[in-house]
Amino acid sequence: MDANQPRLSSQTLRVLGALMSSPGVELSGAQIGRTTKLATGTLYPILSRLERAGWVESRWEDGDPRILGRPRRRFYLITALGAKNATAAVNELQAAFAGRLAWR
Amino acid sequence: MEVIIGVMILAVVGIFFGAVLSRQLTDEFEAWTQWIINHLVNRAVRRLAEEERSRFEEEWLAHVNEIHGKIDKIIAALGFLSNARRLSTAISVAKRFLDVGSSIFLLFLYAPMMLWTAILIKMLDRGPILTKREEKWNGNTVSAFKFRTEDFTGRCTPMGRILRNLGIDEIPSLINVLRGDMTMSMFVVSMHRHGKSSG
Repeated sequence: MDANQPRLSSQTLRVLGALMSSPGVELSGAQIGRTTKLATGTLYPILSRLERAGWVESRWEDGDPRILGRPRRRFYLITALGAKNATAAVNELQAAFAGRLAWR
Repeated sequence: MEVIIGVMILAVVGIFFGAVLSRQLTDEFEAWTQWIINHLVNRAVRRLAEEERSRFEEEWLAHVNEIHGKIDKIIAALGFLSNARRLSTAISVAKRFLDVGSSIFLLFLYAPMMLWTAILIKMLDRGPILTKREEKWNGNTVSAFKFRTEDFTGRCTPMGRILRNLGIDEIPSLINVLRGDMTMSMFVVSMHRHGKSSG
């Protein structure tokens, strides 16, 4: 596997799942944290790895923090590459699981 | 009758002051929480590469802002601290353990010498024992602890000259290694660079 490819732990899959659950909708780190129930210490290294691998992209919330009166949020969106890879990974898991069920 | 009225007045006054006091305490707690969060995020961000700091500082403060509940906010902010090391710079856990172990060992080893140095600095020119000096490393700036070798005008003191020649002034940076601001290799390089410049 390419060194740049993120490791698909169950936590990473949860993050990808959260981002894919509403396609085209950008989510902030805090929103992803709420959906996945991941602690900040786990969440951001995952997001950072996914972003570097090009599976996820992020941008600042529109607006000036001085006018908003609070720091700007950073929104994350899954890329086509991310969606493709995540779907492939899930399919692979499902196939493995189905095989196991058939065997039993 | 008067007694009852007296008690009622006291009760009303008590409730009023109680409310004011609890309001005051809540405000105080609120201010403290924000201070703790800012402090934690700031510390976490300092562990990142310089070009990433401003992004994550704003992003993480916004993250905490989106969370309800003071305790949850602090827990989230604490999480960023453990984050920082695993992000970008990717310092391995094993290396960090080695850094912590070796810095504790060296701090114990140097403790008597550090104690004497501290006493001598205090005796000879009063002033503070430690200062912070900026160290540059891979584009990161770390303000590292050093024994003070200069007087308030910025001139090297006689005691300071000896400390610099022996490289003793660099030893307090072990505290930065222990805290994770610096790595052991940074410490060794700064000692080495020092030896070259003075010898």
